[in-house]
Amino acid sequence: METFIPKTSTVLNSLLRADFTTQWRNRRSVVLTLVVPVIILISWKGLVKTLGGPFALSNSITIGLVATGLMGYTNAIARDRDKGIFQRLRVAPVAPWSIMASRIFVQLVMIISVTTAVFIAGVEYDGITLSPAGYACTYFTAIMGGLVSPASRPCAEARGNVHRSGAGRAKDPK
Amino acid sequence: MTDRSNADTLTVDRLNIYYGKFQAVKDVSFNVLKGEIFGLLGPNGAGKTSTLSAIEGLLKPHSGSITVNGYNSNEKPLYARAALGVQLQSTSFQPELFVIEVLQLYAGLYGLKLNRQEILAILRNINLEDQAFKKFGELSGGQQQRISLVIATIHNPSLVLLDEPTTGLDPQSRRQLWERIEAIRERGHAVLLTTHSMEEAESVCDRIAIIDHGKVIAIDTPQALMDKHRNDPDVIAASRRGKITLEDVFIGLTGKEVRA
Repeated sequence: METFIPKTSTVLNSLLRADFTTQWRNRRSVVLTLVVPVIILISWKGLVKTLGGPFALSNSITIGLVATGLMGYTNAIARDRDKGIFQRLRVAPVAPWSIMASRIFVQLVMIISVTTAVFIAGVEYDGITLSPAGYACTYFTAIMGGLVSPASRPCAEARGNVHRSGAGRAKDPK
Repeated sequence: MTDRSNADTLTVDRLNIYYGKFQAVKDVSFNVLKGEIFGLLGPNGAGKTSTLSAIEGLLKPHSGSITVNGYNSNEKPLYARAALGVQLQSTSFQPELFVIEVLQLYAGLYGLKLNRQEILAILRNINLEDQAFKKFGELSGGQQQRISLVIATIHNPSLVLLDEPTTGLDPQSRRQLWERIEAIRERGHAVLLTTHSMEEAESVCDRIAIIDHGKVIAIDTPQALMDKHRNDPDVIAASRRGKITLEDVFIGLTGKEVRA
């Protein structure tokens, strides 16, 4: 029987399709993650003049990122480790980084979606606009802040998934 | 060095595994031949799952070597894993995915591009075509085991690892699974399975190894083990109905005390 290693592109394609399907089937959390910061931004319409548009935008995005961290893929990662789903994936001939890369990519898409939804709501309802550099800087900060949420949220399970994505090591006592 | 001329499908040589200061596996060596069903038996905590985890690549051993289909798992881990089909003790797949999507995912992870019709044909072979659009958790235990087994063999691996595959199954499902395991052997695959069922070991395994306190204490065919230990005082003491069974040999060799 011939042994061959699958192409990284085939593996990533399969993982991404499964991870996006998983995210799509969790539509309630996706909708809440997108809607909550937009509703907060709209409800703060009266405060925009006193606090400033960028302040309202950045706070709404922060709430969106927290929602992503609490309801989004971070939870799925914690659950997958608990249920042995990661373990099952790791016995396939795939590099551990590809399993996490696919998950992180889904998280990235959610972060960009939340940030874009807040920007659009800001323009449409509150007339808040930023300079191109302001938008770029906000996207960058949101992505950085959002991506550390799986590692920094106070959930040992989620943190464990990030750290344990490589092969386990039994230690020699000597 | 990778030795592709090796006739064994799996060779485990002087394997040692530690958890902190506790040594779970001590100098374990055995081999599994092509087209053979090999059973790994032992009480709870004997080191079966640790040995299997090292073969699967989930655990890095302190010392010793594992060669799968000629590939050393330390030097060529991806090739060694690609030659393996694995059914874990508590198999779990993403609960949001339908059965057809789970099969599609694992086919992709082994480099197979199967379209929907091909996957439905696979499900038809195991009489589960009508369950294709159900979630894995909605299936019965027997159906889940059939799906897990088909996923373990989807890429035609040289060696199939089954960790307690019939736990929790009713007698009908267990018998059906045994037939499927034997069919895997007939297709030329080697099978390594762990089990607590002596009936299962006696019925389906060509050879068995009994492991206790991390060490292999006996390796042979079930019949040869019974013949060899028939007159051991501990085995005779373990016998309940006068006739020596594999379970009597197992209890005679590993002791009567209940393990945690």
